[in-house]
Amino acid sequence: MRDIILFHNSSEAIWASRVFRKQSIDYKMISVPRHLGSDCGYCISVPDSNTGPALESMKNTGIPFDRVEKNVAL
Amino acid sequence: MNGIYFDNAATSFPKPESVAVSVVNYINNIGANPGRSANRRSIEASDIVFECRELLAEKFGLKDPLRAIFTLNATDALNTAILGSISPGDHVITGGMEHNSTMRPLNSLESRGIIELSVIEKRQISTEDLMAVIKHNSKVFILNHASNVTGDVQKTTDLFNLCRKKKIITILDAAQSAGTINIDMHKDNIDILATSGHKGLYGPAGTGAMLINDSYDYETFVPLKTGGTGSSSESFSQPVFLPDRFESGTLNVPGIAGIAAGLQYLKDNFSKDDIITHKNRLREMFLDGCSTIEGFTSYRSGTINTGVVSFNIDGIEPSRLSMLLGDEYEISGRPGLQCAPAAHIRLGTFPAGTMRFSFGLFNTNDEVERAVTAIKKIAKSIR
Repeated sequence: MRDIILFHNSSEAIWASRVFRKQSIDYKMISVPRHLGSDCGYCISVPDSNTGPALESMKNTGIPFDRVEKNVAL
Repeated sequence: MNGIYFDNAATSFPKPESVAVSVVNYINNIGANPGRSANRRSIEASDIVFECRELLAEKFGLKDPLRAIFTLNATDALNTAILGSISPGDHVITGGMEHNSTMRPLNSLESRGIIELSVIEKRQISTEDLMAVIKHNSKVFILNHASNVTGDVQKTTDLFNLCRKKKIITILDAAQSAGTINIDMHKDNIDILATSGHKGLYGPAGTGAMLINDSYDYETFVPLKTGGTGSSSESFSQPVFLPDRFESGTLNVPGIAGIAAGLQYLKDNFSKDDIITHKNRLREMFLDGCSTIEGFTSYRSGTINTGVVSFNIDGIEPSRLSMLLGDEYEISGRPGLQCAPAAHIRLGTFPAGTMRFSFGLFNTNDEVERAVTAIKKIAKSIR
């Protein structure tokens, strides 16, 4: 299963993606699913086993985000 | 096109090769609008933009790259900072060497009765000068870090420390100093920094940035422009979060790619004081070379300088001198008031102005020697 990390804007999502890339955290940048938001930008999908490390990494870097949606079917 | 370019205070030239490569790479190979869709190209474009935010934040000592806001130029950044931070009835303080990018918005606000304005009419401002004008309603202190006319650098540390104690917002116009003088927004107590991207940062023309201190409460700061941001699209209200609060509409991505390349070039090739040392060596060489010319006057002071020299030769208008230098010697400088009449009033060179040479990273000793020779010949021809 995969979780989705939603951000306030694409800048925050890109920031997170750059940090995940550097730290080899598996992720995929996707469009915000319509049922989760109306933004034209991105969110990040991560395997649920990676959600903890991903959030920890964002917290340590100071990256803001909106919320996490668990077990989202895409 | 050959010739000598000494107008780096207007915009730097040439740029590092990597700047054009980055601009062209975006236009030819990426092309998409950042932050508007999750297609590969849009994500790549967003990545370039964010990389530039990170480089800007690092350059000016910010922790949060989201506080690096892209603008059209330094004037746009200053207008955003000034108009966003003041309210009717506020008292605003500024310096005596300001560019019109600061003086015109302030004058407009004062003439419409929106603000009270105090101009400290000095080339170098002391804490005593500042203390003397602070009032109960003083809200903002806007200061030019380095004059575009003389290159003189204003010492800001004590002034901005005083402002912090008095809860006065500090706005630094770093159009001339960014990239040449080391700036740390935290150590220097700068709330908002305005810079061009195309001068000392070596990006393309028509780029700039406004940086907001990590500790500054930007939610009290009203955006100058509002519109589409690609975020909170269900709402008719401008988002509060950064950078969207201050960035509406499609960004100048080719320009931003260029600033990123310019910043990376500076980071990879120069250590702390290399650039200012190089520019000042050329400046001193030029001034030494011209010191024996009869009627040559330069408007120098003993302060740190960004590598700019303003000068006049008795008997010849700056505009004519500029024409002769261009037509006969292929030397480009800038004559006149350089959009800073306040500075010329302080120097006593208003309204004719001066001839200005502003040295850049790629200028050489040979170019300075050729310019000195040219000026000697011109001066001799009018005697």
